[in-house]
Formats: sequence, structure tokens, C-alpha cells
Amino acid sequence: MSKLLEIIKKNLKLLIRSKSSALIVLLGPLALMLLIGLAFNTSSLFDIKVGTFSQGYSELSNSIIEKLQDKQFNVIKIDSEEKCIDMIKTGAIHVCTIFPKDLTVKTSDKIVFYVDKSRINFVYIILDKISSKITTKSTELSTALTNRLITTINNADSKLTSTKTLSNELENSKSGVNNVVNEISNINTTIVELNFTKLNEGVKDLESKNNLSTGSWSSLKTIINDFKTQYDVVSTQITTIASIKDSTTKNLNDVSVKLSTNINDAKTNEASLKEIKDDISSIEIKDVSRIVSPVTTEIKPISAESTNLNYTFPTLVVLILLFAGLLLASTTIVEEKSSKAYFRNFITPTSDLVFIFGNYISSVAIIFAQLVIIFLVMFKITNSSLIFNTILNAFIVLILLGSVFILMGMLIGYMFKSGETSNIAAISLGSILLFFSNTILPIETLPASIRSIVQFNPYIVGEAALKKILLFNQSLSNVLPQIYTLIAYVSALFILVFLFRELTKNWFTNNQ
Amino acid sequence: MADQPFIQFENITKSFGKKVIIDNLNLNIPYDSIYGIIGKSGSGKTTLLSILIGFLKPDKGQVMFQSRDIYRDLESVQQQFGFAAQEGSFYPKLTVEENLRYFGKMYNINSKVLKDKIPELLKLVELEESHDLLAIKLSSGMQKRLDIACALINDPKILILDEPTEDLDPALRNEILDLLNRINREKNITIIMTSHLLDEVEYLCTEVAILDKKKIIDSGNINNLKNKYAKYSEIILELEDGDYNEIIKKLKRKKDIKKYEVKGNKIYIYTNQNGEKTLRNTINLVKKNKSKIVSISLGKPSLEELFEDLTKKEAKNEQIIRDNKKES
Repeated sequence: MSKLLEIIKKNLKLLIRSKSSALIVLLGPLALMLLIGLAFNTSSLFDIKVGTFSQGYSELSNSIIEKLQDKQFNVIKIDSEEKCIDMIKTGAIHVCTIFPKDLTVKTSDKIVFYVDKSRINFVYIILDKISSKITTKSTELSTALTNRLITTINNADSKLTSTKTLSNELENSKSGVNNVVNEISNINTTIVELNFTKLNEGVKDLESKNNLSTGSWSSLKTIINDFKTQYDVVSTQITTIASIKDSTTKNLNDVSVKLSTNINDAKTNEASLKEIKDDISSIEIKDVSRIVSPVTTEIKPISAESTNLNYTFPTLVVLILLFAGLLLASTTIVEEKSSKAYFRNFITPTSDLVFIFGNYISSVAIIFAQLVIIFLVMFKITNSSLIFNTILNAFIVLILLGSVFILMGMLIGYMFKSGETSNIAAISLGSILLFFSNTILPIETLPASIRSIVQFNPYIVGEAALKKILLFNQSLSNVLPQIYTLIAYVSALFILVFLFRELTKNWFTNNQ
Repeated sequence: MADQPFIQFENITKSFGKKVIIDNLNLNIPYDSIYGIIGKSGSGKTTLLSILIGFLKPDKGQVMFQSRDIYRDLESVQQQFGFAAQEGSFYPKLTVEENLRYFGKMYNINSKVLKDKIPELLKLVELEESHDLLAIKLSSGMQKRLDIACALINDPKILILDEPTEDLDPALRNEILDLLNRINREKNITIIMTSHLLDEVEYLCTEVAILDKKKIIDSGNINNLKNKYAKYSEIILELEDGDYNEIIKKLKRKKDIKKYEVKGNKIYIYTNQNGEKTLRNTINLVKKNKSKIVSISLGKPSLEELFEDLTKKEAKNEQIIRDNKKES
């Protein structure tokens, strides 16, 4: 035990006395976290340059551009589509938006976005932001249009209600007409034939029997003649009336027939209108906003973090741990191997395991110190208030994960002769682990066969466990599979490190 | 103890790949000696030491320490060995004291013991005032002393040094040689060292083994070896004017003079006759030339010359064996 402590003390002293190493190991993570904290302690995007082109900007396209103009977006109108695309290639703008000529809501043309997909981690964020801005404008337009539509339907509904008695009125008119026809029919236009011969004979008889003065006869005769005349006139008039009566009756009968037809048409129309009205009445939702967005969505985060730093913190810690562990351990071993004292260590009665443990624990101690610094800086930047248990659980996972990376670094240290080659090997291994993780591309984008292997990447395993603990406050029992995987890694790597130390020891002795 | 060799190499063979470095080597090292293993570069000196400390395992043979096979109980044997490698083996970014404490702990020495032992060692290697200096800031001589102190932290019975004075200037070299002498004397530690600087081996070591062509050609007390192999006596003469031309002309006529060579201001004259007679003759020659003698001495050839003769002879023997093999 005292040997172990002495090795650890020696390693730490050597590290601290090597100014550059101490700077990298102790101040490196501090500086890194400060920079990352300042850079990522927000969830916004800034200064996104959006190029736009249209052969004819319409009121609608201008209003969309206006919507885009805010702190986040810098909209630049560009002369041609080609130039707009070229500007993406040169990085002058992030996205090129092509508006159709004279864009209106009536046209079915599409707004086209040109993006640089090589900036895979960035392009979808921009598109999402721009799309949400355009969707806002689109929703405004939809609301206005729908509002007009609903108003029109409501007006039609009320108008339909007011026209529902038309067929009845026609029915009444028809019966009125029929009544008139009946009444007209009842008018008697028969002319009673008067027997003027008997009248003339009676006058002659009267004239012969009575000696009436000439004047009186003449007056009587005049009266009788007038009467005859009048009678003829009346007869003529009655004949005319009878003729009019016939034609009127005929006309009224025609009217009645037409009314019957109209009544049928009116009834058909009324039935149609009733159907329309019923259809309108059957529309339950008349709220414009509900029609424009019948299904409303809301994205709620499952953790209550407010900045990107909180979300990316587990990944960042694992990333720092990955490179710090690999580089620190490999450097320590290579320096030890190339140290003048390596030979004397070999000839002391000290087991190889003691040296391996000594180097391992030294690196763990340094990594632990780094983690403490990182967590303190993180708390300071984000004002987080993690509970003790969460921190403890996180540290258990981090020490296990750190052990995996440290042992990998030690293995590299024993495998390679010089600091340069071991550094290259450590960085290469770190890059492979990083590339096949969720940090650059989601592992879901990989083919299933590769994914089944990659899921055991210690970087992914550790990151998943740490996210569960730090973001969702889950206990260690919820990350047991990850912990067992890491323990398996540590055990296997320890054996490998031991074997490689023995191999390199043989190499060293044979080359002295 | 005197009857049994302290350390015994028995039929040691070691190869790296197809290249045989040590072939069936046997060597006994006595207790309390300062033992030098000399050989040309690449002759397998470091490999031999690495086998001794258990850092390398021989392909064949065994190494016995106090009649125990060191590989049977390597940890306890290592506890009794101290080793200082050619380039030094300590942490440059730890202080002198921290290095000693660290390696003390690696040798299972507890803190209380170390508290007394470290100042004692620092005093021995004369680094008390530099105890809190980073090793990297020490001079090369001080670094070598720190390395020796690290090798002594576990109170070893044997201190093994691989080329301990390599890359040091003459003053520092003497400093280290004196330190090793003191360690042997004061702590009764057997010292085994390799070197290709034969004068320092001759100066420091009581016994020596000559390693050449993968095996030990011979070993033992240096004077005994000289007596055994030296055919000549060596006269070293230094004249005030440094002009040896006249002397050389006359020496050429003498039959007892086997060879001579001028090195620096001195002339080395080798004779296979009675050395004292040749010495007298040489002094007479100088007097006749009216030259002035600064110094003159009579002795056996140096270890270096002995080594050269022996290794040449060995090479010649090998060539004869090869030729015989070809002929047969």
C-alpha cells in the first residue's frame, strides 16, 4: 500500500513539475468549460444569413421576408438564383430562399430552400427556424381566408332561413288565382232575348186603342227606341264580357298551372337549400383558429433545462474525459517508459501490478480533480442545483468511464514507443470513439449491423448513463446495464494492460 | 565465506535472436572485493550485469548468490543488490531526497528507517546540501553520485556498476572512484563494475575478469594476472628535453629491447630480460647523451597492455582453430 501511495505521489509530483502537463491537465478542462459555458449557455442561433431571390417579389413574399427580419436572421436579397446558390457554397449565406414570381395565396407555387447539407448539424436547425417563421405567416393568411369563408357560410345560412316560405306563398297565390277563376266562372253572361215584335205590336195596339197625343207617342217611341238601342249596347257589352271572361279564365288557369310548376320548383329548391342549410348546420367547428390548425401540438422537454449547455453537458464531460483519459494515461506511461528511472523500477522487488495500479490510480486522481473543476465551473455558469445523490451517481459513472479511457490510454502507452506515436494513437482512438457516437451523427443513421457493435462503444454507454443521471435524475439502478458494461470493459482492459506491460518489459530488457 | 564464491556464474549462455552475446561463461566473484569486468565495447559486459541483477534471464546456466540460485527467489536477492546503470536511473523531476525516498519505498523500506538512512547516504555521497534540488539540476558528477546513492538505499551486499565513470571528466572520475573505494571500505559492500577504462579498473579493483569473444578469458587478482601473462618489464622514462631520437637509435641495437613507443613526453621501453639490468643500461645511455632525467620507473606492463595482449592472443588462437577446421 505504501508503495502504491509512493508511486501515486511520485506521478503527481512529476505531473505538477512538468509545467506544460500541469497546465494542460489542470487548467485545460477549466478553460475548456469556461469557453464552452460562454459559448453554449444559450439556446438561440445568431446571425443566420438568409439569401432570397425572386423574379418578382409580391406583397406576400415581402411580408414573409419581413417576418424573417429579426435579431437571428440577416436577410440579403440576391440578384439571381445561381448567385444565391454560389453564396451558400462560399459560406457567405447559410440558406438560399427562392420565392416564386408574384407569390400570392392563389398561386400553388412552392418556396424553395437551397441548403448546404454538409453542415448537417446546423442546416436542419436553420430550416426549422425559417420554416417556423414562414408557417407563422402562412397561418395568418389561412386564418384570414378561413374567416372570410366562415362569414360567407354564416350569411348564406341566415339567408336560407329567410327564404323558407316561398313555396307556401306560391301555393296561396295559386289558390287565390283558382278562387278568382271560380268567381269569374260564376259570372253569368247570358243575354236574355227580348221580343221586340210583341213590344211593337203592343205599342201599335196601344196606339190604336188610346188616343194619345202625338208628343206622348213620340216620347214613348223614343224611349222604346232608346231602350232598344241600350239593350243592343248592353247585349254587345255582355257578349264582350263573356268573351273576356273566357279568355281570363283561360289565362288564370294557365297561371295556376305555372304556379303549380313554380311551386314544385320552389319546393325542390327549398329541399336543396334545406339540405345546404342542414350541411352548414352540421359543421360543428366554426372557430377559425381550430379550422386553420385542427390538430395543435406542443413540444414539452422532459427535463426542465433552459440552455444548450445543460443538455450538452453530459456529452461535453464524456468528451473531455475521453481525450483527457486517453492522452494523460498514454503520456504518463510513455514518459515512464522513456524515463531514466524505468530500469531501476524494474530491478526493485516490486510487483508489476503495483506499478499498473499506481499509474492507474494517479490518472484517476487527476481525472477526478478535473471533473471536480468541470462540475464547479458548470454550476457557476448555469446556476444548476443538482442534488448530492445525483452528483454522487454521476461521479460513479464518470470514474468508471474515466477508468475505461485511462486503461485504453495505458494500453496505448505500453504499445507505442514514443510520445508522438502514442499521442497519434490516442487521438485516433478518441476520434473513432467520438465519430461512432451520437455526438456527430445519431447512431440510428448507421446500418443495423454496425449499430449493433457501435452501441457498445464505451463513449455511448457512458454518455447514455450520464444523461439519465444528470438530466432525468435517475438512480444507479436505472443505469445498471451501462455500469455492468463499463465494469466489463475495465476488467478486460486491466488484463490487456497487464499483458502488454509484460510484453513491453520483455522488449525493454532485450533492447537494453 | 572465503571458500565459497560470493557470486558464481555457471555455464551462462545468452543470445538475442540469433546473436550469441555470452557463450558458456563461468565466473566466480569473491566477497568484499572490488571486482572489475573488462572488455571491449559490445563484448557483453552490460548483458552479464543484467543477468546478475535478474533483469535478464540467461538462456542456459545459472547465477548463484551465496550458493542460492538468484532466479529461485529473485525478490529477496534483488533486495540485496544495488545497481547503478551507465546512464543513471532516477527521476530528473524529483529532488535528490524524493528520489531516495521513492526508491527506498520500492525496496520495502519503511518511512522511519528512511528518515535516518537518507541523510546518512547523502553524507556518504556528499549531497547533503543538494538534498532538495531537483535531480535534473545536479551536475553530471552529482547525478552519478545520486545514482549510486539510489543503488545503496536498500543496504545492498553487492553494488553493481555499469561503466560508472563513463562520460565524466578526469576530476569527477577520480571523485567517483574514491567514493566507490570508500563504500567498499566503510560499508563492506562487494562492488562489481564494468569499464573499458582499464586504468581506473587497475586503480580501483582488486580483482578483474577479462571478457572477450563471449566468454571470460581469465580472471583473478590483477597483479597475479600480470605476473602470469606479462613477458616483459616496462621502463617508463621521461627526459627534460623530450627528445628521444638518440636513445631510440641506440635502443634499436640492443637485443633485449622488444619494443618501445613514445607516448606524450615519455618513452615506454619493453624488455624480456632482467628489467633492472635494462634500467641501468638505459640510465647510462641517457647520461652519455647528456640528457636530464625527469623520471624513470621499472614495472610490469599496465592492465591495458595486458588486456590488449590477451585479447590479441585469443583472436590469434581462434584464427588458428578456424584455419585448422578449414584444413580438416
